[in-house]
Amino acid sequence: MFDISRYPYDTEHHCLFIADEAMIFHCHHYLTNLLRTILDADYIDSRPFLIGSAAHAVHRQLSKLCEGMDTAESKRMAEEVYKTLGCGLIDLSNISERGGTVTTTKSVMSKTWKQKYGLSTKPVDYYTTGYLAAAYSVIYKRPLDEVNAEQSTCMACGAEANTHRVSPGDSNFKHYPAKSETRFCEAPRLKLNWEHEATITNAFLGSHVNFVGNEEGMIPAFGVHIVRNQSDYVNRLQFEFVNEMTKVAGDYGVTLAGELLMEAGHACGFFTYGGIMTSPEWNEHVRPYLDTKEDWIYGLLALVNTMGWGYHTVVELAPDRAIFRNYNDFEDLSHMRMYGHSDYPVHWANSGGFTGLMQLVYNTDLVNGERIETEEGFRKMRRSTQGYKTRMTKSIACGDDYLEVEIFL
Amino acid sequence: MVQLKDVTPILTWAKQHGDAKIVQRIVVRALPQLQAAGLLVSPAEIEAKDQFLVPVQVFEQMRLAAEAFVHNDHPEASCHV
Repeated sequence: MFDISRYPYDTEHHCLFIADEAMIFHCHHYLTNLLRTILDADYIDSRPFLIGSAAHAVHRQLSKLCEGMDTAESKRMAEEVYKTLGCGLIDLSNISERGGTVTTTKSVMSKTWKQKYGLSTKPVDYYTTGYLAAAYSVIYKRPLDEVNAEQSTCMACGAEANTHRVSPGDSNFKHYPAKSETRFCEAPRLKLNWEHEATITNAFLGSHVNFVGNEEGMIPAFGVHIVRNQSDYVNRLQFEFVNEMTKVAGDYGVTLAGELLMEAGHACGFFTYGGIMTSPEWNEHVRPYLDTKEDWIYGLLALVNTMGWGYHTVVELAPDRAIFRNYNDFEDLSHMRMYGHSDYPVHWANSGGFTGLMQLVYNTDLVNGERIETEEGFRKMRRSTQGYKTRMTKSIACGDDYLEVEIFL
Repeated sequence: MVQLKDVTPILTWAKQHGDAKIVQRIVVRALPQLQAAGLLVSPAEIEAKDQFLVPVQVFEQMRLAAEAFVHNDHPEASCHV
């Protein structure tokens, strides 16, 4: 019923849309780190936006995907989309017009939170709560702001299963106005200027369709769990968190939140890119073209330009300093769709990812095949090596034509 | 008179045992208390100080946050799946 290959990859803008929603891959390191960052500020009532961000993006998408379908077909579509995106498994058979309960033992968020951080004191699968609220709203044609949803048990807290309940009634999560259409920046691009770029990009173009949920609804790849997220869901989490921190502490809140959001991106870049660069696919299709450490960075960027995160390129590259660009990066486009222009750059995940890449290539022995295997190993490495600093210099949300970031020692 | 305590030993211990950005995490957790005490200093500036005196209640908040964050780390956890 739901087939990811029916949605063509936009090779001009390096992105993928499903039912008008921009989609992006993130790994479990990023998603759990982002959630932990938000929950650390325990004086902020984040639950309404953690659920509302998911509900809003999913509602828009499922509304289109389920157009013309009856109740049974819509339920099946919602279950299949959830599984295909790598979120886990849900069974909507207990949901009726009066609402109901969904119990699952397959949740990528709960599973990976427990794996990374141990037991949580509160349920952590806010995404699935929002997803179920949206699915119920679409299936039974009830306005989203008349749906109540909550998670009552969570495997991340030690429970045997996750339990979510949805019901008609007063909404208990945040709602958002309609979004603007996507506006791509069509400025002339600085190409990667690496002789093997086209070879690598062509080798991986289209391969994103292979990243679909397995029998457990998960996508283990490159040593991480990846999830194909609605871009506006995951980015709204960042933007809402920064907005809340601004209410608490003004510009100081923006800076402080930004440092932690970049760290989430750093973990994502470090682990996911590290996994890619030690994978059999890399060794077969990319490794033969690599001589220098700089080639490793060019090769990685040529590959990830097929994954839907925008067009990555390099302005300057040396071990002690680099300048990267991304044309039509997912964070800026998302901010423009939902919040319009910004007074400050908003591409924390991209920038952290570039920093993680520099760290991997120049501050570890990855190019010789050495991987960091444990969370504690990652922490020790981050403590013991001189860390790169990150300066976000240009952002589409600020009126620039592209994202630009400087990474330096 | 407000009693002050130096929080730098707590932060040094946290940096030795916690995440790369653990000072930022501690500051986020204690942000309302730091703000109320008029101590909105950037994490980089805090880390550069030999001594960072804060009111006892803020010290306690930062100590509790540091201990919770470090103890919640999962040292044996694999970072691969």
